[in-house]
Parts: sequence; structure tokens; C-alpha cells
Amino acid sequence: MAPSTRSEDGPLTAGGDQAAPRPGRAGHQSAPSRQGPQNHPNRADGIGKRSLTGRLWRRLPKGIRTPVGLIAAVVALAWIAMCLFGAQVAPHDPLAQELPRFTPPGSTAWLGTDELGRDVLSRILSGARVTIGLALALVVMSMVVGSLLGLVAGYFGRWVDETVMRFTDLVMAFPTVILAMVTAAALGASLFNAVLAALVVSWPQYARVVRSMVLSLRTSEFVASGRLLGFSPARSIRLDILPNVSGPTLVLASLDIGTAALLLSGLSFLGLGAKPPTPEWGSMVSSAVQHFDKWWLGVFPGLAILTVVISFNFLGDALRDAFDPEAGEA
Amino acid sequence: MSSDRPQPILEADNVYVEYRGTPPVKAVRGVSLALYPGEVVGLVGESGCGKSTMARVLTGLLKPNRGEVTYRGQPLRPLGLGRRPLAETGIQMVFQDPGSSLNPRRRVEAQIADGLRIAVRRGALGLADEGSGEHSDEASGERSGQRPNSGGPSTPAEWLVRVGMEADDARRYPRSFSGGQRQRIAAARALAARPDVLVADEPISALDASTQARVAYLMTTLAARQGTSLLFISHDLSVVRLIADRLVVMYAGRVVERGPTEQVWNDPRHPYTKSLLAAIPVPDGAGKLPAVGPAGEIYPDHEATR
Ligand SMILES: Nc1ncnc2c1ncn2[C@@H]1O[C@H](COP(=O)(O)OP(=O)(O)O)[C@@H](O)[C@H]1O
Ligand SMILES: [Mg+2]
Repeated sequence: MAPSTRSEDGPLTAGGDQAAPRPGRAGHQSAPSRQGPQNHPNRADGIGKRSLTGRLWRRLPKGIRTPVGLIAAVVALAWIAMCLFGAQVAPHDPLAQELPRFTPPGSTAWLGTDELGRDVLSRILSGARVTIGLALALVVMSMVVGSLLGLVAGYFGRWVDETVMRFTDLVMAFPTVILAMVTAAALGASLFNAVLAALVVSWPQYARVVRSMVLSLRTSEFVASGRLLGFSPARSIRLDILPNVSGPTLVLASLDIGTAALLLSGLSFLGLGAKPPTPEWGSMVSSAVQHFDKWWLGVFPGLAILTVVISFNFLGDALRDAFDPEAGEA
Repeated sequence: MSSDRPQPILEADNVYVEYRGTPPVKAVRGVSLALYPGEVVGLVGESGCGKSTMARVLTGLLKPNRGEVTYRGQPLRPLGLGRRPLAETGIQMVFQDPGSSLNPRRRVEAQIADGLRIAVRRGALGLADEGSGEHSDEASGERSGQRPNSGGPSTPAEWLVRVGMEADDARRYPRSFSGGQRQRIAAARALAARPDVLVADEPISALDASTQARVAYLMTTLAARQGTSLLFISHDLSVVRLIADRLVVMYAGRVVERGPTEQVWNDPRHPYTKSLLAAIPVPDGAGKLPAVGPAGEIYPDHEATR
């Protein structure tokens, strides 16, 4: 692709320059936005720090341009960071049984220690990679499998559609958690099998949504134009269909991350996922059940799951706003 | 209207289309229509009379229940799931809705390049060794002029200029253009394919009044310049009669009147055509105004007031 010669093409500058002054929204930021004219030149070098903050703020998707939204986004990003660096940040080895057992939260261990003298905080931080990492992997796999099936069903219609959608209905007819449990139990308890079981229950929603989008796109005028201009089905799908379903599908996926984390830790909680020494949040809650009076064993991993579910939902909402055609990114 | 006419380039013979449903809709009931090289035919009739259905049959997008379409003497194969036969890309179409006639996710230049590419592949555009021409690399460049082609634009940027827009617009996305501009782009893409036949299905209906005539003239001029026959569909006679050589009037799935524009305009035979004409505001003298709403909107059938 040839590089753009027009600076207005970049969403970065366009967003900053074209956003109308928003007194109400601007009030949320710490530094007040410059009250001067909005049509300053595109180059960033003549612009002060305050204005830059204002411009960055206005570039944020609408959904997180609220205090709650911003907190959720920060929490979600923090969890993603823990996913990458949690093990390094953790004060202790998550598996080392080196502290006094059942130490309540305090200066020895901020979030206490468990029945084997392991540091709960370290286990939560190290466990981020297991729970969130696997949730991300699960979401990506469900999205790919479901979208492909939905795409094929919607585009080719007829018996292809019939077959795929009957199968989808079949899976969706079962309660999600129960089907995942049964599948995981049948496959044998392991984290890998828990992900597989979760995949079995989570692809159909993508297939459904993608199919319905493809169905309406397929009859749209620009797709017909493409076919009239001699597009093969593959080219039609690649150029006219896929780019127009990818945005909403990614939004759906980002909204699904929290649910996926919950499902995976749920399976581990039931003993169908992570095996004992693994610092997985669901299995941590599970072993806490046996020590009901040691509240910190269950509450903190539970809070970790809760914040992941909530913050990623907010992040998904923000993404949805970003893809909203009304949110004018020129 | 003489008998020494050349062969029609595109011809529909006794086409019937029925949409399934309860009850089924008989959208087109026995329409025959011929399009000769280089002419502009206006297909008019109120909303729901089967014009779009006919357009889709003529381009092969829809398989008629009965009847056949012939293109250059060969039966037209209705478009299935596979790729359209190369020869049939000589029939192109411009649609009604400027909001969905272009892919929102692709740059304008890429979409016009689709038209150019198929023209080259079909051999309808003498681009010689100008391989990069149909790719978007130099689309934004202003260096036009020294191109060895058969006359006419050979890059998306040149096409944009030809339809009255800026060469720089090539790198933008459809959402940054107005409805009229999008229809110009859609016309550029269709015409870039160097079609023998362009079916324009109400391409101006969604535009505001001041833009309508300009876009209609533009399409007619460009089609004429490259010898493309134009079937211009509209529910509004006032613009069509300015550009069409012949008129075909449809009513309730049938053709009720056809003939040279002047003849139909001055001496309509069918009561429906008369009512259609009566609904047009005449700026000179008579001072007739549409009975209900702006011209071409719903109004009573067979209201022969002339
Ligand atoms: N896909 C469809 N399914 C069922 N009925 C349709 C469909 N498309 C058009 N129709 C009906 O067929 C008739 C003719 O429609 P159309 O060809 O779009 O008319 P026009 O373009 O003249 O407004 C209308 O009554 C319309 O409601
Ligand atoms: Mg129509």
C-alpha cells in the first residue's frame, strides 16, 4: 500500500481535530482542555501538554470516557500486564511452601497464606497467566471456529446453512455450564481438556452472530456490485464480507473474555480443570471451601475473577462504542 | 423505430418473476425489453411496479421464473455461487442506495480498481503493458496525461476526476462522501469496467433535487462517451425524459407503454402514463402541481387529467 500523503487520513490527528468541543466530557479530565480554537494545525510540535492530554482524552472510546469506564479499562489492562509479568512481580514463588500456614492478611503476606504456607498474593498474580491467558486463548479459538462456520453457512446458504445451523442449535439447546462440565468430565480432568470443553460450548454464539451479519451483507448492494464485477466467492468473502463482520465479532469476543475466565475457573473449581499445585483462581477458591473460616483464601481469588469479568465487560463496551458508526472517527 | 436497427445488445423476452411468500408476489408478469447499442432507455413506473426486479433479472442477479435474457445473442446465465463468466461482466449496475452501494471498509481507489481490472481482463481497455495501472499504487498521483490507452481514464484517480471529483479522494473511504458523491463513485466503478450495458436502478432517487439532474446527466454523458447502453430506471419522469432516447413505462409488473421519449411525453396513450405525466410539476405556463406530495410519490392510479 502506498503511504498516505494526506495527514488528515490518520485517525490520530483526525480524532483530535474534528471532535467538537465537549464541555461536559472535558470536565472529567484533570487538566482543563484548551479553550482556544480547535482548528490548530495538524502537527503536534506546537501543542502544549495540556492540549495533548485533552486530545488523548478525546481519542479514547466513548465507553471509557467516564470515571467508571476508565477505572475498568485500567483494571483490565493491569490484569493483562499481570498475565505477562505476574510471575515476576509476585513477592514469592507461588508453589513454595515457605511461610507459616494460614497467616491472615498482614505484613508477612499481604493477602495471607494458604493451608500449605503459600503466599496467596503470589498465587493470584502468577495465576493471572493461567486464568486470563487461557480465557484469551479460548476466546480466540471460539471466535475463529464459530466465525468460520457462520461465514460459510451465511454465504453459501441452502444445505450448508441448514447443516451448520442445526448443529449450532443442538449445542445451544444444552445449558452451557452443564454441557461444558459433562464434556470436561468425559475428556478427563486437565486444563487443556477444560479449554476444549469450554470451546465446545462457546463457538455457537459466534457462528450465530456472524451468520446473521453475513446473511444481510450478502444481499447488500456493494456485494452484488462485486459479484457483477467478477469477484469469485473467495474474493467476495475476503474483501466485501470479512472486513464488515470483523469489527462486531471482535467486540463480541472482547465481551466474552470475562465469561470465558469465569467458565474456565468454574470448571477448575469443580475439579475438572487445573490440577492442585497450579495457581488457578477457580481451584484456589475450590480448596478454600474446605477452610471456610479462613476467609482470605476464597475472597481474594474470587475478587480476582470478579474484577476480570467486570473490567473486560467494560472494555468490550468501549470497543463496541469505538466500532459504532455514530462515533465519528472521520 | 425503423426495421434496419442493429441487433439488441441485451434483450429480455417475456420475463415472469414471482417472489415466494404468503401470498406470493407476482412482481414481473411478462415483460419484454430490448436495449440497443449506445442508446439510453428510461424505465419508469411507480414504486413496487417491478423495476428493480427487472433490473436484477437483466443483470443476471435474479433468475426469472419464466422467460429468458439474451446478451450479445447468448442466453445470460443467472449468477449462482460461482464466479461470473468474464464475458458477462459487460453488464454492470448502479444501485439505488448511496449508503450501501460502496463497501464502507475499502478505499475508493480499490473499489474503482475492481472495475478497471475487469475491463483489462475482458480486453475492453487497451492498457497495453500498463500493469501497475489498475493497482492502487499511484492512484493519488496527479501525473496523468502520458498514458497509452484507448482514451478515457485508466486509474481510479483519473476516473474520479472524470466524474467530477478530486484525484486525492481516491485514498478516502466511502463514509467521508455525500450521497451524490458516492453515486458518482459507484458510477465510476461500474463504467470503469467498460460495460456494453449499464443498468442504473434509481441511482438518483435518494439524492436531493439539485444533485439529481447533475448525476443523471453525468452518467448519460459518460455512458455515451464510451458507447455504453444505459437503462436508466426511475419512478420520476421529470429527469428521465431529459436524458432518455426511449421510454418504457411499467405498471403493476407489466409494460403499459413504450416509445421514443418525445412521443410518450407529448402523446401518452395509456391512462397510467397520463397520470404519471399529470403528476409532474410543469414550470412553464400551465402551472400543474402534483396531486399528492412531490412528483413520483404515491398518487391515485388512472387519474387521467390531461
Ligand atoms: N426479495 C423480495 N421478496 C419478496 N417480495 C419482493 C422482493 N423484492 C421485491 N418484492 C416485491 O415485488 C414487487 C416489485 O418490487 P420491485 O421490483 O422492487 O419494484 P420497484 O423497483 O419498481 O419499486 C413489490 O411489490 C415488492 O414488494
Ligand atoms: Mg426499486
